[in-house]
Amino acid sequence: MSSFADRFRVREPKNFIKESDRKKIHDAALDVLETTGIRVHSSVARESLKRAGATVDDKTSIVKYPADLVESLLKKIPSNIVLAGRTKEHDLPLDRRHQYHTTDGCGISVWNNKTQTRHESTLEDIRKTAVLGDYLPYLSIYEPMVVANDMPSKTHVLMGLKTAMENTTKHIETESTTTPEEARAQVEMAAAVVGSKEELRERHYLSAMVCTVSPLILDGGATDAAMVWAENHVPVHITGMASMGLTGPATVAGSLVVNHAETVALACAMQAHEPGAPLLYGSVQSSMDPRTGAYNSGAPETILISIGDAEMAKFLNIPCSAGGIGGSSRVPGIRVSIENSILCPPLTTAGSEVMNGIGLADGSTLLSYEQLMLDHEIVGLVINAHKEIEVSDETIALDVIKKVGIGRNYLSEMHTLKRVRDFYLPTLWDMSTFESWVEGGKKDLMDVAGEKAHKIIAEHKPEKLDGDVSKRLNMIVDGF
Amino acid sequence: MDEKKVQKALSNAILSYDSGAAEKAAKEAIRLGMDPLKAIEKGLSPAIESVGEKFEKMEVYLPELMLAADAMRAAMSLLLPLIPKGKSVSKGTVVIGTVQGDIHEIGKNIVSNMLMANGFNVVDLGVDVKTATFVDEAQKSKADIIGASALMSSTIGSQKDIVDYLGSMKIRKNHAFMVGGGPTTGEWAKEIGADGWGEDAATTVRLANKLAKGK
Repeated sequence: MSSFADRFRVREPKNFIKESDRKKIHDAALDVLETTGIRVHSSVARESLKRAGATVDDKTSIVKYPADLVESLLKKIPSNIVLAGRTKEHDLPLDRRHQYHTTDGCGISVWNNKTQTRHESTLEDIRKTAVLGDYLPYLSIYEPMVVANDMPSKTHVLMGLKTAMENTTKHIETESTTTPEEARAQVEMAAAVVGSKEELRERHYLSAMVCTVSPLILDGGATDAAMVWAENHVPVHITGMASMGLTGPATVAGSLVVNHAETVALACAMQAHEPGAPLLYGSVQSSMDPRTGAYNSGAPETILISIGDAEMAKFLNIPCSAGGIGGSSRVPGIRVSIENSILCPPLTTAGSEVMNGIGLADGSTLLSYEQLMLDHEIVGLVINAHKEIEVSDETIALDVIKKVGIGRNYLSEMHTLKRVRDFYLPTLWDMSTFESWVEGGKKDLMDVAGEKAHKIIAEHKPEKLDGDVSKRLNMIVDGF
Repeated sequence: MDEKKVQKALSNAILSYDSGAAEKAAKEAIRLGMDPLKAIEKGLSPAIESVGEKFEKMEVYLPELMLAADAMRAAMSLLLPLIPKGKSVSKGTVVIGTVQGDIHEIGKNIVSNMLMANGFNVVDLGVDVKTATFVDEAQKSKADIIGASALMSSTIGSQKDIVDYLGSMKIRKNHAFMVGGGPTTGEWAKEIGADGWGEDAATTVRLANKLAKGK
């Protein structure tokens, strides 16, 4: 039986930027790192970089990275890692041949499709989306999707993580961690689930998104947290977000340089701090709306620059979680679905291994249960359209062709019976007739998606956490 | 060059987004002994307003707006010190900053620039600004408006803290309060009791004009 990860196996990636041009971008970033430097607000990261040989000005917090130091630190990054599930069934190898999809995090409100209004997100939304995520076949990773506004600000991240751990056996990605203490508590929680902190170093059950601040800044709290993630071998998705024209030059190549410099800066800080710490090239770059400067995730330039990020990850030969779906339309529905449908395929072809964004509209701030189902359908279609075309005696099926001969059909062949099972069947629609659509109440796809989501949430029972582990999680959260 | 020509030169400098030319024209106005208020009101202000109008009509983009604001500031920095005390041209004072725990400043800087270019006296407190600092500085500078920016959903709560703090000090009515930044919305502004939401730089300037007049 094929594994869960096999479902996400795709064709070998294509290259869109030639090696000599990737090197030009890399060399320009090295120049920036050596001459302009990076402002590193984390004293822990500065200290580790200083020990490794970087030039650190503690007054300005600017770190200048000699090129040879960068090259030697980059060599320490593991090329292939496995993002582990709570159960082994959900393990996800990152080996340049899979594309996984995760929900996004940090939404702050929730769409009500009936009233066409939005309201504040709560912890219950994390529970519901985790249950849904646990069920959905093309959702590989769950990320607590919203801020639990009903929880105290001190513990809302931990509460979100606990709720996720309790409601899905899939790999969990955490976002929004802004202090090292919060990171340590989450490490304790993940260790409680996998068995121990030693086990967690081997089984990467938790990964963490850490954003840089463009241009050329590493935040204090988030970078301190990144050092904690590194110490515990929790993979870090280094998520540069330089926006073309605003926080990066208004050209793809120029903004790639800024992003590459930031990504390499944090990657090197992690390797200086903890050699061999796992990490992913996790950029989510975009272009700005030239009229307002706003984040424009649905723009064609965003696709181009995200392809560029995947190219730079391939240049370094490290795991890549560049680009994401998550259109910029203010409301869910047709426009987000169009944006996501054109955002996703080029990144699958270019070789991004983890894409986030499922279910959030309005620049990843608005959760829609309906959109979550639509996006899930989009990625199911895209992944299956990017399968390798297998050519073998079995698939060429010469003997079957000869057996069926002229003018008959293949329906009653064992070969067909076996192989037709591989065909992708949409989960939200089928090929039934116009009449049956009328009889069904002429439902809009958003309504169908919403009904299906709420049915799954009501009926699906995720595998429970062991009672002692649950108690341990409660103790960690309560003690924070 | 006569006064009319200098006015034209000031105006052209803004309309061609040229800080060097704006500085040169301002120096020429000073050399001629021109009334600095007149240089601003007849030369610079109509030009920046016209750029603002073009922006509203989507005829120009954000970079034009920013470069025009830079040119405006280049000329203003030479002319403003020459205006006699009591003859202020300021539309009001805005104390602005990015909230505690948040170091994102680009959006805030754009707004800050635009407010300055549009005739506000702006006290920019920078990033990671404590709630009490917003309020203390607003009192110190008798600010008409406090503007608080936040980019992260984990930090927008500090915007509410500012409203609550003003309330607890019983000075909520002394300063209008506006919020902005990626995760903020009009509903959020209303919910926390802010006086307005700046969706982007241009609407924030419009909002500030309204709030300053409303006081």
